[in-house]
Amino acid sequence: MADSDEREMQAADRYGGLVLQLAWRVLHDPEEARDVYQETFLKYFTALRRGERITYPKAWLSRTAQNEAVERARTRTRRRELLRQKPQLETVEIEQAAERRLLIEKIRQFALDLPEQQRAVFVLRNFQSLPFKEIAQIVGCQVSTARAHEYKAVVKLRYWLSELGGADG
Amino acid sequence: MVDRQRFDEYLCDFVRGELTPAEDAEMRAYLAANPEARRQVEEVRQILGLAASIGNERPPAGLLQEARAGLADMDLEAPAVGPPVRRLWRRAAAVAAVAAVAAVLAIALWLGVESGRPALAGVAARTQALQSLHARGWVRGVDGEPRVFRLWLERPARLRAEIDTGQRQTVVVLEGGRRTIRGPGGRLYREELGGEVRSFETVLYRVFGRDRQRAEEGAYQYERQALPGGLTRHRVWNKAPFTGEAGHWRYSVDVDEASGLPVRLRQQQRVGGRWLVVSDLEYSVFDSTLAAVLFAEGRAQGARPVGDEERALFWFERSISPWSSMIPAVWVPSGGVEWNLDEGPAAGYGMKWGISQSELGGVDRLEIVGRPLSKVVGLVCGQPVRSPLRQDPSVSAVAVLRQGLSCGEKIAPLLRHFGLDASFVERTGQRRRWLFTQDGSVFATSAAEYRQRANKSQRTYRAVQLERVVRDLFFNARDTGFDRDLDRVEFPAEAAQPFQKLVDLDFRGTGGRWEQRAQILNERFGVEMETIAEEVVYTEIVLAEALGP
Repeated sequence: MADSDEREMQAADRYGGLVLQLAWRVLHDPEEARDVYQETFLKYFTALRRGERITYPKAWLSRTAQNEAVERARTRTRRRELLRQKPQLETVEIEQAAERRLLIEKIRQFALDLPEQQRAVFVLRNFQSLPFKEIAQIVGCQVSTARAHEYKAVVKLRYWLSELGGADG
Repeated sequence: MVDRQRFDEYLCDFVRGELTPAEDAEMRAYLAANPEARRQVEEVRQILGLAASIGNERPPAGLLQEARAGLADMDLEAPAVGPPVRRLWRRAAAVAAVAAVAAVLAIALWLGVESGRPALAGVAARTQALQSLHARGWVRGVDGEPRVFRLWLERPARLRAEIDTGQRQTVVVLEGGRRTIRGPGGRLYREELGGEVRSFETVLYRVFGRDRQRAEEGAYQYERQALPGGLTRHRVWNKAPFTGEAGHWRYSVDVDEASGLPVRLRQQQRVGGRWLVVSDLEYSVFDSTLAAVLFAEGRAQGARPVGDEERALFWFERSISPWSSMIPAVWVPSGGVEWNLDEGPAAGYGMKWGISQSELGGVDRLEIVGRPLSKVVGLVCGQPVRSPLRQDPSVSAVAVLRQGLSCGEKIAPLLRHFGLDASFVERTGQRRRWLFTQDGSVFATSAAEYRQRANKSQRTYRAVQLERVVRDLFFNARDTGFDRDLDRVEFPAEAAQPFQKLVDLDFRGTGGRWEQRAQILNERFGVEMETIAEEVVYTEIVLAEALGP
């Protein structure tokens, strides 16, 4: 194994948990989460080999993993919408889930529909518990702007849930 | 003092209890005076509580190790055993009723024939029963860049592929003899495939026949290995290369023993003495209810024809087809030149002897079996070769050569292997240019999408480009006296050139006489030909024994 390969794998060791957790929390699917993990690091290695300077690997990986996971989740959502046309397909488990579990899944799903920056802040703050200072670095904005994004995201989620009769009970 | 704007800013942190004591006190004072704000806090508390539940979720135990192991597999030294592959087929088996993709089927069929093991023969049989197939993973282009890749294939040959390079996402749909590409910005391009489309069964037969022959000639090596989780890994690689060690490519197919179906195909190529994974794809069936969406681009209106610019832009997308013998076929050059020479006189590659040429993304690939060295050098360089050697060595090899390199660069490793040198000598000679024109007529073609060749003197062309018909008949004529080193065949260069049109032709033998063939082409398609002789200065390659080491 070449030195560069070892360095790359060290990065995977250091930030792998973070990337996988983020993927898992967005997707809640082991196969998809594993794919996000691998694709994120594949892009990371490729960027390094292209000579790209990545000053904050954690920020870079978080952003990439988040984008990758959200994209996959959105594709899956589109498919599920189609699948709902057939009652036997994959909806039974959701229908039988407890109310809280259902709301959690709704939050996970609705978060994907937020505008990009709001989504990034909401996911990183609430799914990953990152401090606003780090989130601002990842998203590329001021801390106060990041806070505002989270608020707007929550307002939207509240509205969407109320439309479904979720948050209001 | 908290006002409405500050309240919004503080709200989430207040709910999480992350404000400073002073900020917290200010918020509480504001809430005491605003019942609507209190209600809002409760709603946000509920939402953030639910979100926090997601934040507390942990991936299943062992998933990180599995993902990490998979990552190590991807780009490093070839691993002996990869991670267990999930059993996508188990759930899918109930749905499965259907066709196969030529790539997996070809491999499966070949494995069955080569090994004679019942389990492998079963793979072929079961794969043939599939109607649909989904592949997902990644592939590496000749530029070395990985591309996230997803593919859906449905009988008979409807295909959708999604390719994501990070900078660019494209979608390819092949359906009904048309390739549609959705490129950056959502713009649609279309390309009529015409005579290039073959029926699914024809393709299978072609691939099956070719791989069976390869196996019988012993050109491949094979081993299998049990993996955890009821999987068997079948590893295949070519043998007896230049180094005398492993060949220059290998692939592995993981087969789920319970269902008998392949779940993962991984291809590797040796680049600069190192094994590089060039693609890693997992397979499953997909739900046919998705078809309306998956193949929608194929029926979209308003797609513009693929022009020269798009041909260059979408070279990778255009190489994806259901009949690629290894979907997707990707070759990676190392330093632009890679020669893998077999020591045997006729190593295989599906030919008793001959040279097979293909091109992808600026890279030429040659498969050569038992051809004289001087012929090989001539083909690589496109120049005449003189070989005063007592014996012209026989070459069997696979070469991967980047276009645009000089002749000397391309053939250097080959000559070194045989202990030879080449010199380049300028000469003067006569060249003939064969100029073809056509009177602009257009022709109705049959709807058939195949081309059949019964034998050399009897050919049936259906919806084949006129240029291919002309070339086919011209180069198989016996009496043209065509000098492959110097002479040229030329067709009109303009974009809408008439030889691109599709034609049908039932050709019956003329004893290989070009004059009669030319007459048929003239009467049927208005094809005219003119020959111009001219003096040219050309470079001849002269081979000689190398002096010293």
